[in-house]
Order: sequence, then structure tokens, then C-alpha cells
Amino acid sequence: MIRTMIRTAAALTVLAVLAAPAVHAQGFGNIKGQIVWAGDPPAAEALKLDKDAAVCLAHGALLSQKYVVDPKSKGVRYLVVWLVDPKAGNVIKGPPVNPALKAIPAKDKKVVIDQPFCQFEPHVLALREGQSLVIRNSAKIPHNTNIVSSGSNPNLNPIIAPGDSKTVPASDWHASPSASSVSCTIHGWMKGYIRVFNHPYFAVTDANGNFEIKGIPAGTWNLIVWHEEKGYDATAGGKTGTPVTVTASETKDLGKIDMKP
Amino acid sequence: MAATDKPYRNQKTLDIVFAVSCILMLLSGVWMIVQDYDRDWKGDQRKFRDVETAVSERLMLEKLPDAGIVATKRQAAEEARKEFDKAKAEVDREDTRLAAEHEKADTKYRSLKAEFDSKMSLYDILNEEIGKTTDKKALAELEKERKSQREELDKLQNDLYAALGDIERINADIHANVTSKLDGPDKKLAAAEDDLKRVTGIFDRFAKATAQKRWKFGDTFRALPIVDGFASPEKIQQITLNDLTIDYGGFRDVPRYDRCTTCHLGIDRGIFDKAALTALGTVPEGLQNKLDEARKMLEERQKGGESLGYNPSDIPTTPATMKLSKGKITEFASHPRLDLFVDSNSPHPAERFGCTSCHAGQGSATDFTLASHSPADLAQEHQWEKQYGWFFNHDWEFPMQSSRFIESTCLKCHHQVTDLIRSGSKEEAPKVLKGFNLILDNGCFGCHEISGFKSNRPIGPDLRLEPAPAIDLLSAGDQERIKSDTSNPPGTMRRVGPGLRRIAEKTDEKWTRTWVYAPRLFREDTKMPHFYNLSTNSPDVLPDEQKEFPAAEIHSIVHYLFAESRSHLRGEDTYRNFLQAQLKKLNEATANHPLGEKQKKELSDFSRNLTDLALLSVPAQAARINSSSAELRRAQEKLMELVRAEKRDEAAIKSAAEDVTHLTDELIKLGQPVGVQKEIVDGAGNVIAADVLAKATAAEKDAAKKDERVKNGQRLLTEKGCLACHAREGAPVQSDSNFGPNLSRISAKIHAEGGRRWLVQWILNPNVHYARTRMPVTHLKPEEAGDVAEYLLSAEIKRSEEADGTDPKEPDVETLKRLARVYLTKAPGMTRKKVDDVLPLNRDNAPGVTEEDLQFMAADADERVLSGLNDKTISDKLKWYIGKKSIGRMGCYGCHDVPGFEQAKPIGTALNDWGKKDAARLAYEDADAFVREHYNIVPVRKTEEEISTAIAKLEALPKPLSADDQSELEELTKLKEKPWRAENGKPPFEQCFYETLEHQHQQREGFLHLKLTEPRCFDYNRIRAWDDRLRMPQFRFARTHKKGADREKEEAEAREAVMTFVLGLVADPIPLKHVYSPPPDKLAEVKGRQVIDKYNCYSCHPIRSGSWAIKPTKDQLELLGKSFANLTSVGKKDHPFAGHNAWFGTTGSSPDKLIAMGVNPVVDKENFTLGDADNPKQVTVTAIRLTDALRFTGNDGMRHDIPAAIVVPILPDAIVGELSPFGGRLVDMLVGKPGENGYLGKTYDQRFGGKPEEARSALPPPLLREGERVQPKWLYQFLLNPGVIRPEEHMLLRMPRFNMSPDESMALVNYFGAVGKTSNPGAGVTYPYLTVEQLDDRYWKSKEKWYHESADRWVKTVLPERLAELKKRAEASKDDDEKETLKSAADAVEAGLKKARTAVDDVAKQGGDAYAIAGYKLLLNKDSCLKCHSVGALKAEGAKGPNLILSADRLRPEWTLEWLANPTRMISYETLMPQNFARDGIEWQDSFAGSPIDQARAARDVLMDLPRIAELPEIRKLQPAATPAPAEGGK
Repeated sequence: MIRTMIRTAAALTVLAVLAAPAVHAQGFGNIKGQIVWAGDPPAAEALKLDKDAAVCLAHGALLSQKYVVDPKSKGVRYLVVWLVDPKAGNVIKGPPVNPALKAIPAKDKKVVIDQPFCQFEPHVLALREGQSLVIRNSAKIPHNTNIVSSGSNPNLNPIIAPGDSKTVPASDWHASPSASSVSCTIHGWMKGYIRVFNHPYFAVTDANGNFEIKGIPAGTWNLIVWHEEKGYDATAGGKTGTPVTVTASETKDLGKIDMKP
Repeated sequence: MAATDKPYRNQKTLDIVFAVSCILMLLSGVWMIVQDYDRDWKGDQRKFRDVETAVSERLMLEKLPDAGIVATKRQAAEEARKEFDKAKAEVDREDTRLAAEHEKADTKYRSLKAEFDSKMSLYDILNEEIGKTTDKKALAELEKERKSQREELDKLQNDLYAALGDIERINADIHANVTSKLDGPDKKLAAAEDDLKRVTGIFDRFAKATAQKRWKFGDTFRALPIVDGFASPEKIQQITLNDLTIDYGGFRDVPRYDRCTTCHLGIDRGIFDKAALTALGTVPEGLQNKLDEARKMLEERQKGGESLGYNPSDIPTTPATMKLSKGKITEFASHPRLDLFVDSNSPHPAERFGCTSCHAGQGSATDFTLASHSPADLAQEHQWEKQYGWFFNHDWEFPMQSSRFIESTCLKCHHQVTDLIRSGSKEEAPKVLKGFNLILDNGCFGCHEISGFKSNRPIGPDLRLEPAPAIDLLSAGDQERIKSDTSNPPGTMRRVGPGLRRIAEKTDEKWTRTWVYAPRLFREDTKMPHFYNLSTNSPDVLPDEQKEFPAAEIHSIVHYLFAESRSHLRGEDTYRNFLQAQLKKLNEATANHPLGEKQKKELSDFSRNLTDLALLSVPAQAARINSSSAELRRAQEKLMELVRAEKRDEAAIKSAAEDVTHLTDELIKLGQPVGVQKEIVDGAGNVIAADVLAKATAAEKDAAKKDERVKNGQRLLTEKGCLACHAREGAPVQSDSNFGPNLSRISAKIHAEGGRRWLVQWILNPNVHYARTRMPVTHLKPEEAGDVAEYLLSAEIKRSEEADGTDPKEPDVETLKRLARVYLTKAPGMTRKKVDDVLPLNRDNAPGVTEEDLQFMAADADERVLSGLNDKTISDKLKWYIGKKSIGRMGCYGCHDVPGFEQAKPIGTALNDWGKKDAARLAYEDADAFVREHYNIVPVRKTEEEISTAIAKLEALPKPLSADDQSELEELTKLKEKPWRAENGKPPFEQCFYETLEHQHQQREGFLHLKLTEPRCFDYNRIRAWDDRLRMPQFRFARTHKKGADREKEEAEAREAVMTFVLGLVADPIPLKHVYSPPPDKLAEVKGRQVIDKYNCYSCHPIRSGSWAIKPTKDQLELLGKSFANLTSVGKKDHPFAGHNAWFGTTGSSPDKLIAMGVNPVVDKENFTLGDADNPKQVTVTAIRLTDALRFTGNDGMRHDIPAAIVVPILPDAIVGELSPFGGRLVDMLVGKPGENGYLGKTYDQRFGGKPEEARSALPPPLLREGERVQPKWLYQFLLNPGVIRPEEHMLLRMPRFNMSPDESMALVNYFGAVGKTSNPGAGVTYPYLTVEQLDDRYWKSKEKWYHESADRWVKTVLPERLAELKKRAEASKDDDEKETLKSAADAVEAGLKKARTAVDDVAKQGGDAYAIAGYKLLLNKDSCLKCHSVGALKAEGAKGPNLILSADRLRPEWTLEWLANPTRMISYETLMPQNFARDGIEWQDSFAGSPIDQARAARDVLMDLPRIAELPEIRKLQPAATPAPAEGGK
């Protein structure tokens, strides 16, 4: 009798384990949300320039991009948001990749970072393994692009002449738990960040702090938020993230997520 | 009585007596033999044979090959043999035939040769005869004979050649038909046999040792008494050293016989390590089986006909176990570090150095006690007494160095001391090095001479005070004179304390008194020792009439210092007055009559002393002082000559005398110091004076502004590098530096009137105040110095806090008189009665010395001050007198420059040979009683915690404990009762040191230990006059902030380190060939290291990278493999330089160890993974940034090089050795650890964008490749007078100017050269000279020619071909991505080609200097170099890098090319310099048509000769166009 029960239990467990991925396979959903500054938005500091003012300021004053908060919506720009598998216990392993998203569309094979007016555009960039990075310099002055990474990502410091561009091939980029920093040593104030993922479930918040991640397998995943200055402490989720349950064929609105000032 | 046969005694009695004595004699003979036969060493040798057998057996079994493998290998060998035999059989017939033919031919040849030889001799005789014959007829006959003989000989010769040809033909046949056919099988056989040997070789070797070393019957027989006289297996082993003699005291040159190896049998053999010997105590499972297997295998092999060379049945049948006691293990074990000692390949082979030359002890003894083994501590002593009946051997003067002090003997040969630091920073003798540094730090050499020379021979480390004034202040001639004395070169040590000549400017008398009373009360970590409140002069022990003496003495000393200091600042100090007066008198005398010899000498001495004093007072004027002093001496001589002349020319004499007076006055004026109140001098020596002072006072009034200045001062103190040497509580960055004094409480010290101004002056240019300070000129602006001073003075230290009860009571006149009388009594010409007359006690006043007395006193007698005493002056005059006498007595001038003591000699005992001082010559007095009274004597230096831990460790061992462990446990349990701690206020004292104080066992260690602990306690219970007491002050060697037992312990350790050093000063005149004389590069490194330590260079600059020894485990290699794989894309952009260690590593000496050289070790838990990409496992590693390339053989079996500047992960369990990077603490403090935002990142968010690498570039540079980077000549100049390299606006601080001597600067230059040369042989570093090809016209000519051809080829062939190739590939490509990539690459090449064509057109136009112009255009390109570097007068906006015009003098050509090609490889942090000439790039073609590396080379060439090239007419034309937009705006 007991033996039968054990057998049944074991069989059920096996089934349950087998069934688990099947739950994900049942469908895919989306999430969206907004990260907002909890408190009075800080005023952006004007950067001090020591050279090339004519070119750099043609576009207007350069402001620090450390905290870019929209005064109206209080939404915070340039936070990286992504999903991880809560069981993995690290920040790299994401949900299984939706077969529809497996291949990177040709138009997305290249991601461009430009420096038209002595700031990196975009300031924070998220790459997926398989994408190459094109460093463009559409300005009239030269820039050098100093990429500093820990671990396996590139450490490069090429000079890029006006109008020129350089490509860091896709094979150089690997999903990494740390961000690579990008800076220009000629123009010491220029700074940007690159994060690399091995899945498509990531986003960088826009000017209003909004983000959206699509085609996520249904199930419970952890949402991680990272900010260049605050790191994982930007929101309450910390390094483990906040659990988010994704339902098939639905876009779940996570609402406002507070960023600690 | 008649004669009778009856014996005088009863025969029977006699017989009995005889028999008994015979028996007794026999017995004693037997007893003697037994005694001799039973000597300890014999038993030990017997035992060692067992140990040797057992160890061999274990190793044999460890290497026991798998029987299957052996069988296959053996079979393979047998087959190979068979094949060989078969092949041999096949050719056998042919072989025999040919051999026979060969034999035949050979015989034929031999017989022919014999015939030829005999005929030849006949022919020779005939020739001789012809020569003698004169008769014509006979001659014709003989000629005929000669002709026929000649023909015969020719024929024979032909036959001989034919026979030789036969032999050669047969040999060729043999080779073709026999040897060559055997060749293959033969090689195969050899290979198979080698193979077999490889598997069984080590096993066989140890099996043989096991069988042979086993103690057999034959050994027992040979060891029997009497028989053992022939070939005993037990023998005394001896090393004879005829030239390393022992000094038996009087008997010189007694050769050294070391018999230590008689018992220490395994000393030179690595297999007897302690672990192996301990392991013999247990038998691991399965050992019996293995043994059986081994025996079986060997027996079978023997049966199989193999000759083993021993009988396999000699191998034991059961595995040996032997539980060796710890003592036996130590006795038999191999010497630690065989790579350094004993081994014949080590630097200290036993056959050259023996044992006792390092260990001391009686080498010829073969008994444990008689060899003078020394226990390390009491516990060991007791154990030895119990086990070996050990006792202290009084009859041997040099007992073995106990393990505590063993390092002291290193000093015998390593006179440089720092040569004990190997390969960078590895300290091979840490204790003695620590002692050395403590002695340097505490300035022991100020009082104790530590001279490295004795009668022209080096005898030990040389630490002597430098001459005063310092040698680099003297005139060239004087320098030469002093330096030319090679047997006694000038000392190099500076006094460790500050100069006191100008103390009155800095502080006041009250503070100074509290300081002298107890320096550590004011500043806990000061190195100034305590002179008062010690065992001989604390109020508790002083008799009533002396109780006031210490206070009186302190008052007097301080009074003297301030009085002299004030007069010094007015140019009127006593010594100066005396010299001036004497000189004037003598000069005047010269003008009237010739001088006697004594007076002449005086004149010369006084002038010299006056010059010296002037140099000491105003070193900045050294050049002028030297020249006017030389002039003065010439004028004096001239005057003397005029006076001596037969016919006096009064007019000339008068004018000469005027000259002398004038020059004397000038010298006096030049040497007159200027007080800080009058003028403040900046770093460049310019007087900037009053407004700084005004600002300081204004700021005091304006509180708000003051706050701002304090804040600014705080920032400057942090950023300008002050914290590299000083600590300051409350500074934003915590520093534990104690190279300079701790500045936390300085505000309490600097409060005299004008103290603030003094501080500003000190910060601006300390050399004005004290020329020999090691504090550098900081290059601060006057306002900045003012702000720093403001900050330092802002700390509110309550006066009472530092002065509470420590300002000694003002003495009354009576006390002063009594104290003065102590010294006065001993003054020349004084009698007791006279003293009573001069300073009568118990009277209101004192007459002092009379006019009459003065006449009999020396002109510079201190007693002269005691004249004209009255109520007002008596107190000060007495104080001055006592003060001067006390300073002289206590030798304050050993550490401080004190006015009035310019000529004084050090007061302490010379330490040159203290280490061998006979204990009988040391006055122990009642010291043991003192220790008993004042200390808590404890058995060993183990704290309660340490004992408990040790006990817990033993108790955790599996039961039952071994006898050793059990006794250790008991010992420890006993110790627990008396751990190392203070009890009843009595500090702990180690018993072993106490015992060596007791009368029976007096040894120098005990004396020295107590002298350093309680220097004056040897006066305990003695009756001594006040000034006869011991004078040594009490030092604290460990300048620690710890409290309680930890502090005591650290202090005890520091004391021991100092002892180790002092005990090593034995002045043993060792034969020069044994004294370590490092090879030139090593010596340069050693000497340079001393300068680096002296000026604390390493506090700001990283000097050497760290090294990590890594075990190449599978996981580790996987990680390295990944790092290498990630390099591919980077690799394409990199130009590798062959042989250079930044790109190519070296294959290490040991395959199981990789050495990674790097910096910035960080523990990284995230970024490195093991396993495949889909399922990675994060690992915790130590990530280091390589500074040298790392070569490894990966898991793929391929050899790879990871170049420098790549961060590589090291698994913690793969690290087998680690040496931290050396230097750069300031940088670490300010920038923070890698990945962190340190102080600068946080403070300078805007300026450095929060980027550590940006902040890093504004701080002192790493000197890791300095020798490779800079030109020696430039570095030499720079160190003496550092200029600006990077723009000051970018830098946070500038290299300060240290007042180092030219010799020291040269030592540093050579240091970097030597390090560059030895650590990177491929870079071709030469020093102290180098060639810069680019300065040679011919170089440019050849380059010009080359460029014309190369540019042409570049646009006509290279680029078009590349373009065609890319287009072709793009077309052929199927992959869209690839297609596009190729296309854009083609576009880039096309664009480059177009630009290059214009450049080539220019080449044609530019004629002779096209290469230089093209190179110059690369530099001047507004899109590259000019972005960050100015070029000469062309200013770059917001420049960060050095002006490129500096490069020609500063940089080495090779380095510059490597730097331009890929900057990141050459520097130990992420440099700001981008890679401008990436290998896969095609840039700047309009400036220079050529490949990136050619461009880099051209840019480099131009840099190396920039000053000339910038002036070329063609280039001058270029410049206006190239001038960038004016550096306006941006703010």
C-alpha cells in the first residue's frame, strides 16, 4: 500500500517536473511599467567642459545624465530592466527564449551608439548576444571610445575620426553580470554604459521612465532593475528582483515602481 | 735479617691483587669500548639506515608502476629486441663475409704500410748520404740508386692507396648492407627500452636504495668493535673549510671542521622532508599488497634474466613503520629551502659554507650538548634537559644561534642587507630586514657607530651618519677629498630627528619641556625615545637631594635650545661668536707677525668650521659660501706670505689684511640665517614674504573665510599627497602612514608667536628650516600652503590635555647650583674648593667664575658662561650651562642638529662587533634583581589566547595522542597558568631572557634584550653620580596604536628584530670571496631600493607588480583558455612585439607552476564562469590585471600567450604562492579599489566624471616599466629637479622635489634600468646610456629613401590589392551580414586609398624631408594627438597628456613605439590614451601613406627628434594652418 503511494507520488512528481516547462509553453505575455522617482526630482547638473565647446554645445547645454528624471511624470530614464529565472540565483539566466524571438531580425543585428554632441547616444544601451555594436561618430570632432569591462567583454580604446564608425563584432559580446562602461578620454565628461544579455527580455526605460518587455513565457519571473549609480539598489527589488507573474496573451501593467532617491 | 726467598709480601695476596687489577683493567677496557661503541651518533646513524630504507620503500611503493603497463612496455621492448635480433640475423651472413673481407683488406694494407715505412727510412738514409758525398762518380751511382728506390716507393704508395680504397669500399658495403639495415630496429629498441625505463626508472632507483640501505648482517659485523676500524658503516662525516676559519680568540686561522652531518644525515636530500618522516608513523591501507606486488615483480624480473644489481629478497617483506619523535624528525630531516641552502646548486652549498659559519656552535663536536645546540625558548630547553641531558656549555664561546636569531648570521656576508630581498619584494630574511629598517627608522646610528669597514675591509652593514654639513653642500674639491678615501667613504645616514637650530620659530619652551619629559604622551607613535621617568631617574627612585634634578635638567635643556636658537637666528649663537672672535684675533695677528704652527692650524680649522657653520645655517647659499670661503683662505695665505717676506711691504700687508677682514665679514654675513618672520621662501627659493602673513592674520579675523580655508586646506592635504607620509585624524581619507610625524595634534605644538608662519614656510619649502629633512618641496602655491596650515592648526587640542602634570616644575636656583656643581667639579682646572668658591651652596647668590679664572680657561669652555652672575642672570646662566652639559651627556645631537654640537662625537658604544662581544665584558650588575622586582617573568611569549588555541588544536587530534603531542599538551597546560600578560602592573618578561641575565648563564642576548627594554636598569641598586648613570633612552620600536597584550607582543617582536640585527654585527673578517657581492644589475637594484625606501617613493608610486604562482589545474586552465579566446577581436587590433614581455610570456622553469605578474587583485564572484555557455557556473576568483604576458599550455594542449593589460581570473585553490604588488598606497587611498569609486570619484564627479581611470591619470604614475620607458639622463635630472610633465591643470599633484644627492638620483636611475633589463630582457634596455638612432642624420636619410618607395608601393600595390580582395570576397559571400561587413571594409579602404594618393603626391613635392613631414603631420593632426597633447607652443585645449616636445629627451625610442602602437599593454591601469594606430585600421592616410605600424613608427621617429624637426622650414610653413581654434570658452 505504502509502496504504491510512494510510487504514485514519485510518478506525480516526475509528471509535475515534466509539466513545468509545458506551463511556459502554454503562451506568452507582455509586461510594462514605469519607474518613477520617489521624492522631489533632482535638477540635472550642467557639465563643465574644458574643450570643443563650439561643437559640443551646438545642441544646447550638456546636462549630467546620471539621474535623468522627467519633471512632470517623475519617470526616470536610463534604467535597465530585465527578467531572470528566480531558480538560477544569478542575474544572467533569463526565462527560456520564445521560439519566435530566437532569431534576431536582420535590422536589429546592429546596435548603434553615437556621439553627435559630446554625449553618448544612447547613454545606456542594452545588447543581446548576437548583436554587434557600431560606434559611430557623427560629430565634426574626433572621439575615442574607451570601453572598460570586467570578465569576458571587450576592453578597447579606439579613436574614431569625425564621421567615421567602428564595429565591435557580435562575437565579442557575452552576457555578463556587470555593465561595461563607455567613455571618451578626450572629453572626460562623456560616459555611458552597456549591458549584455543572452535573451530578449530586457528594456531600457524611456524619457518617462516607461518600459515594456514582450513575448515572455507565462510563469513567474523576477524583474531586476539596475541603475548606473545606484546599481541594484535603485528599487526595492534589489539584486534578486521582484517576482512578476506573466499570464499568457496579456500585457500586465506593473504600474509605478518607486526609485529610491 | 738473612737473605731469603720469601717475598716481601704474601705471594697469594699479591696474586689476588694482580688478578683483581687485571680484571678491573679488562673491565674498564671493555667499559671504554662499550662507551665508545655506544656513542649517540652511532646509534643515530644506525637508526637513519632504517629511516632511509623506510623512506625509500615508501617512495618505491608510491612510484610502483601498474603491472599491466610494465608488462606491455616490457613486451614492446622484448619485441623490439626480437626484431632487432631478426634484422641482425638477416644481415648476419653478409656481415660475416664483409667482416672477413675487411679483415683481409686491412691485413694487406698493414703489410704494405710496413714495407713502405721501412723502404722510406732507407730512402731517407740514402738522401743523407748523397748530401755528404762529394765524389762525383760515387754521387752519380747514388743518384741512380735514389731514382730506382724512388720508383719503387711510388709503386708501393700506389698499392697503399689501392688497399685503402678497398677498405673504404668494404666499409661502404658494410654501411649499405648491414648497419643501415639495423638502424631502424636499433632505434626502435632504444626507444622501447627508454620507455620502459621511464615507467619503472624511479621505482627501480628507490627499490635499489631500499634493498641496499637495509641494515644487514654484514653491516652489523662491520660495525663490531675493533672491526669497525676498517670499513665501518658508521662513520663521522666532516666538512673541512680551510678558509672559513674560526676565531678562537688569539689563535687565528683555525680551520673549521663541521661534523654536523654525522647526525643530520638527511640534511641535503629533499626526500627526507618532515612530512615524509612523520608519515612513516602510520601504514596506509593497501601498502602491504603493494609491497608484495613490488617484490613479486622484481623477483620475476630477476628470474627473467634481468640484472637488477641487488638481491630482491633484500627488500623487506612487511612495510616499515617507525614512529619518530619530533626531535629525531628534526635531526634527520632535510634543510628547509634547499633551493637556498646546503644543496650544491643553491647559493649556499654546504661544501663551501659548512654549517657553523651560519649556525655557529661547536662544529667538531659529535654530541648534542657539546655541539652547543641552543633552545629557542624555555619549553624547548626543559624538553632537551629531559631528553638529552642538555646543559648550557660554558666552554664554547659561540653557541649555536637559536632559531629566533638565526637570520642574524645573514649579515656576515650580506652587507647591503636589502640584498636579502629577492626578485622584487620577496623578503628572504624578514626578521633581520625588519631589524634593519627599525634601526634606520629609529636612528640608532646617531649614537652607536655601525661602521661597515675595519682596516680597509668590509666587515658588515655600513650605517654611519653623514658628515655635517652634508657632503653635497661642500665644494667640489672637498667632496672629492672625502669621497676619495675608499677605506672610509662618507656615511650616508641622515639624522632622524628634526634640526633644532631654529626651534624658537616653531614652538615654545613650555611645549618643548612637556615633549622632552614624555614624547609619547603627546604623540603616541613618535620615534623620539623617553629620557625621563625611567628606572634611574623617576622620582620614586631618586634620593631626596636629586628629586628635583630631572625637572631642572629639562628646564635647562629647553632653555639652552631656545637661547641658542634665538641667538642663531640673530647670527649670534655661542659657537659662531667664538669662531668669529678667534678668527678675527688670528687674522689680526697674522697682519703683524708670522704665526706659529699651532696657530696656523687653528686659523685653518676655525675658517673651515666657520664655513661649515655657514653651510649648516644657510644651505641654500652653499655655492656662494664655498666660493667666498675658498677666497678667504687664499687671502689668508697671501697675507701670511706677505708677513713672512724679508722685506715687509706695509701697504700691501694692510690691503691684504683688509681683504681678509672683508672676506671674513662676507662669509659671516652669508652664513647668517634669516628668520621666518622676515621672509618666506617658496619652493623655487624666491622670497615671497609679507602678503602670506597678512593673509593669515586677515583670515584669523574673518571667521567665515577661515572655515572656507580650513576646508580647502583639508582638501589639499588629502590631494597633494601629504597623507602618503603623514597621518591626520579627521582627514577624509584614513591614512596609517608614519613615515613623517602624525599631524593630528600639531596645533598644540605650533602655537608660538610666528608658529603659523613657520608652518607655512615648512610646507612651502622645508629646506629653509632644516636642510637635511626628508620632507620634500611640495610645489604648493603660497596660498595653498597657508590653507593647509590653517587646516592643521584648526584642531582644537586643549593645552591642558597635552600638558597635564607633565610640564616639569620650575627649578629653584639652589637645585640648579647643585646640578651645575656636578659638571663643574669635572671641568678642567677645577677643584672641590674652587667649586665651593664659584657656586657655594645655601647662599643667596654666587660669585661665579672670576676674571682671573677666565684667563686660564679655554676660549670655548662652557664654564665661561658662569661669570658675572647676579640675581637676575644666575638662573638663566646656570640653565644654559646645565643644558649644554646635559645635551652633551645624553647625545641629543645624535638625532638632532643642535647648535653648539657641530664637532661632537657620538656617545654610544660602537656596535660594529657587538654580536660577538664577550659576555664577560658586559656589566650585568644587578639587572636580574631588577627584572625580578619589576617584571612578571613568564615561561614563553605566548598569550592566553594562543595557548588556548594550541591546546584546542591538540585536543582535536584523534586519541590516543602520540608521546610528543601528549608532552606538548602537558607543557601547554602548565603554560596556561602563566601566559604572556602583565600581572599586578608588571609587564611580562620572557624567562629565557631572564635566565641569561643570571650570573651562571650570562649571555649577550639577555643583556641586549634588557638594554632595549629597560636601558638604564643596569644601574639598579648601584651607587652612581648623577652624570655617571647610564644614558640610553627607552625606545618603542613598534610604533603601534594597539593596546594591551597585543601592543606588548608587537613591541617584543620589534625588539627581537632589532636584536637579530645587532647580534649579526660580528665584524668577522670573512674572506672576500664569501662576502656576497651581487652582480651589477642586482647591486643596482639593491642600492636603488635603499633610496626608494629612504624617500618613501613607494608610498605614492606603484614600484613592482605582484606575482601569483598558479597550479595549472583543469579548471584554472579552462578559465585561462576562455580569457584567451575572448582576445581574438582585440588581437586583430594589436601589434605584437616579439620578445617583449607585454605580449609574450616565458615558459616557466617548472611545468606545474605558472607565474602571473599583475596588479589590482580583486575578488570577483560574478564575472567568471566555468562550464559551457548554456550552463555556466559562476566561480569566485581573484582577478588580476596582468602586467606581463602570461604563457600557458591550455586544456587544448596548445601554448598560448595572454598579453599584459588583460584581466585574468585565478581560482583561490590554484594559488600556490602570492607576492603582493609593491607601492602606490596613496593612489589606492584616493582612487579606491578597482571597481570602486574612491575619494576622488566621489569628490570629483564633474572633473573626473566619476571615472577611476581618469582620476588615476592625475596621480603619481606607476613606475612598473620606468626603466624601459624613460631615458636615464632625463630621469637623473628630473629626480634632482622635477619639472612639469603633464599639464598642471590636469594633475592633482606634482612630483615634489626631494633633496636627494646626485648619487642617490643616479642610484635610482640605475635601479630602474636594472629592473627593466632583468625583468624584460627582450626590450633591450641599456643603462646608464642609450643610443637614440633618431638623433643621427643617417637614420633620417635612410628613412626618407624608404618612405619614397614604401608610400609608392602602398598606393600602387598594397591597397589596391587589398581593395580588390575585399570586393571579391564581398561578392562571393552568401551571408548578408558578412557581405555588408566586407563591403564597408572595402569602402574604408577605398576612402583611405584616395587620401593616401594625395599624401603620395605631397611626397614628390616635399623633396628631402617627406618622411619627417609626414610623421609630423600625424602628430599635428587635429583629430589625434593635438586633442590631448600640446606640441611645443601649440597648445591643446584642455590638454591632459604631456607636451610632446618633452618626448625627445624623456622617452626611450623602443618604448615609445610600443606605446603608440598599443598604449594599454604598457601601463598598469586603463590609460586615457586611445589606440591611434590600430592594426586593422586605415586612418590618417592623408598625412602619411602607409600601414598603421609604419605610421606609429614615423610618429615615434618624429617625437624622438621633435625639437629639430619642428624647426624645419617646410614644417614651419605648416604650423599656422595646423593651429587649432583658440582655447576659449567651454566653461
